[in-house]
Amino acid sequence: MVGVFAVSAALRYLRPSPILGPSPVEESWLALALVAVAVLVVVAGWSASMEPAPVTLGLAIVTFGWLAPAWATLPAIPVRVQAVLLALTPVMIAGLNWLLILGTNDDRGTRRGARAVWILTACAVAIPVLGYNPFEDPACVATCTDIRPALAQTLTTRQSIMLSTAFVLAAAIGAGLQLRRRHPARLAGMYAAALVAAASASVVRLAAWSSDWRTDVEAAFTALAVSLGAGAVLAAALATRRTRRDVEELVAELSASEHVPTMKAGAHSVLFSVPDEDRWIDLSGAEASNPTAVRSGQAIDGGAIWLSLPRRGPTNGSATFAELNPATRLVLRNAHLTALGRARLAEVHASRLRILLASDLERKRIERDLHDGAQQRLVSASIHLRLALGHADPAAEDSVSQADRCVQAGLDQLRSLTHGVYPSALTDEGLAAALEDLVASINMPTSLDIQLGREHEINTSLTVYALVADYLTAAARSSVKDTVTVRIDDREGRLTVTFGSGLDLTGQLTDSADRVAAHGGTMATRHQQGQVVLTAVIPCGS
Amino acid sequence: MRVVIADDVMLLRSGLARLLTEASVDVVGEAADADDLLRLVALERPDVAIVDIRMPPTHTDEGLIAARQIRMQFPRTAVVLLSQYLQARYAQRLLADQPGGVGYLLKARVSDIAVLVDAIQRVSEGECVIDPTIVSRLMGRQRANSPLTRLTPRENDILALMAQGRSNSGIATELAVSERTVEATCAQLFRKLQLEPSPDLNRRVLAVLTLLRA
Repeated sequence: MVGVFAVSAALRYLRPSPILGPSPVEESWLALALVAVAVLVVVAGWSASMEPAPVTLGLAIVTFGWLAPAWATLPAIPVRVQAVLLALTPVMIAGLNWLLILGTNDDRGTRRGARAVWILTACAVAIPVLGYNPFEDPACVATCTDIRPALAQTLTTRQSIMLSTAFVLAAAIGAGLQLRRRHPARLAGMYAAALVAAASASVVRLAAWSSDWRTDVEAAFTALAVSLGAGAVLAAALATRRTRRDVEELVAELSASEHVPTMKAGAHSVLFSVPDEDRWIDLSGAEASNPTAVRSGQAIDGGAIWLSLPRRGPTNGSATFAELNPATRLVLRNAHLTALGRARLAEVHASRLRILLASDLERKRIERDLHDGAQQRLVSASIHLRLALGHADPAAEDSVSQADRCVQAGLDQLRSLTHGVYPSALTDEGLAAALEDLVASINMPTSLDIQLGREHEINTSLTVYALVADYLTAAARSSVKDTVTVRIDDREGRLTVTFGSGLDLTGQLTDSADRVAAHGGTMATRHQQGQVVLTAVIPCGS
Repeated sequence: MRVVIADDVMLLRSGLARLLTEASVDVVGEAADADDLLRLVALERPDVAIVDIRMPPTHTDEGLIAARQIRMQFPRTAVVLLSQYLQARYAQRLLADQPGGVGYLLKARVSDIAVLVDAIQRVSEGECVIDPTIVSRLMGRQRANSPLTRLTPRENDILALMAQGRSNSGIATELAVSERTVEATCAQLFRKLQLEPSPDLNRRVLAVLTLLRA
């Protein structure tokens, strides 16, 4: 459609005027410039064909407003319609307004502003249509037909043009006020220049009503307005293409690597929103700062994905995503899900560790309560029973000493119980001493080799302790015959515990395996020279 | 024998005081916390202070700190520390500064008044007394390159009994050997632990310290 308009536009200036003969406008350089404008419009229309339909429609309206007067010279057209076509120049302003009021952020304020602009534009178009008489226009080169327009009684042709120009100016100012809110700076500048050129054409028409150079200048301004409008559309379309290409590059990177892609610094990066939460994560699932506060980049897929691209595309984000090919969209959504999965998994890991630490803390508290409370009371009871024993009559003596034996048995039981709840030697004397005690207390021939460079966090130590305790208990239960070897070292920021025995005891170590995993550690079993070697590795900082 | 008792549990403190009194030990004062204890010791200058390790306000090692202060300011007052559970490091810390005149018993053991009275007696004579449970635990630890690995089983037994505060004759009775044999083995033991004969230092205490440090 745009193409058809453009070709006939070029024709307009190559046809001689039926009345005044060849005008200065038909000098070849100007004709060439006009052909260039037409080509620009065609290219813009073609580029915009992948934009949403309203952009193409806006461009068509601009071109129509530009070309309408040219068709007035066609003899087949009825005289009254010729007059209307000659009066249709303000339609170009309507088209420009259409283009620049297309926007994403349609809040109530801008909607009201847009409505006002449309009313002014409608008046600017309607008044000359109803009040223009080509016969009264001294510069009219298309036709000299004398018709009586509808408003002939109230307005002269000049007055109607004057009124229309006023409305055109008002509408242009109104539209200009909204430019910055809807478009990136570069596009806004082009649209503003197009508006100024179109408005200037109207002003020239009025100001130089009867001078002989009016048509030339008016035509030049009109052509400028059209080419600027088309240029803006072209720029927007090219920017959209660039953005899309960047997105596809990003997607190619995403789909090529199996692991978290390491984005080059300054290149593309992509962030994802967490549903129902006000936070963002990156590809690895790690927390990221809210990108909407930073202006570079754009949100796509309904604001769920944020793309920071090396070249900023001045286009509507959701439109970009809507126009992406389905595979690309799928990859981005897949990356979003993967990142969400990673983030959730990290949360679960953290919460598992927290639960473990909380339970350890609670065990420690219970151990202290038992020692400071129950044990003290039992000891006191025992002391008082001994006192009573000294003064008891022979009849009661038996029952008192019986009671004392019960209390002693209670104390013994309490002691072994508290040790099972929490190994206090660990906090008081460190991992090595606690493990030596452990080995000494379990009836299992064990060779213990501890190579620790430093003391470790109590939680990590407790996990190592629990693992060794579980292993030795399991070995004793499974009647392992040979000596069990236990080796512990803490090189390269990792606590490594290696067990060697004749049996595979991994199945009996579920609890401590969970503990190891909660610390982000791993366990592995291998067979080596008739021995089953179990290795647990726990990260412990550097 | 004049004794003060420091423990924040009143029931236990008073019971202990009565038990000791019945065993003809003169209990000259009771304290509920470390500050009380230090005041009381300064005032009464007792022969022995019986001190619970965990006391207010933090219930961690207030008693241990007070015991070290007592040993430094009033060297004539010996200290028996009572602990809720085995903490070899505490005994080690205390003995490292002030070898001798120090005892370390598990609290669960104090109702056996004979053990307690025996310990009071020994620490007031400048020896050190370590609870048998702790001793056997320390003996159970196997560390490479510890001097204890060079000891024979018999020497180990003697060191363990020594740490519990037994005299040579006590050890001889326990092991059913002659006192002379014990003396000979002790000499061997001290040599292996590289403890040279010295009039000032109680070699028995140093031997126990070696055990604690192992």
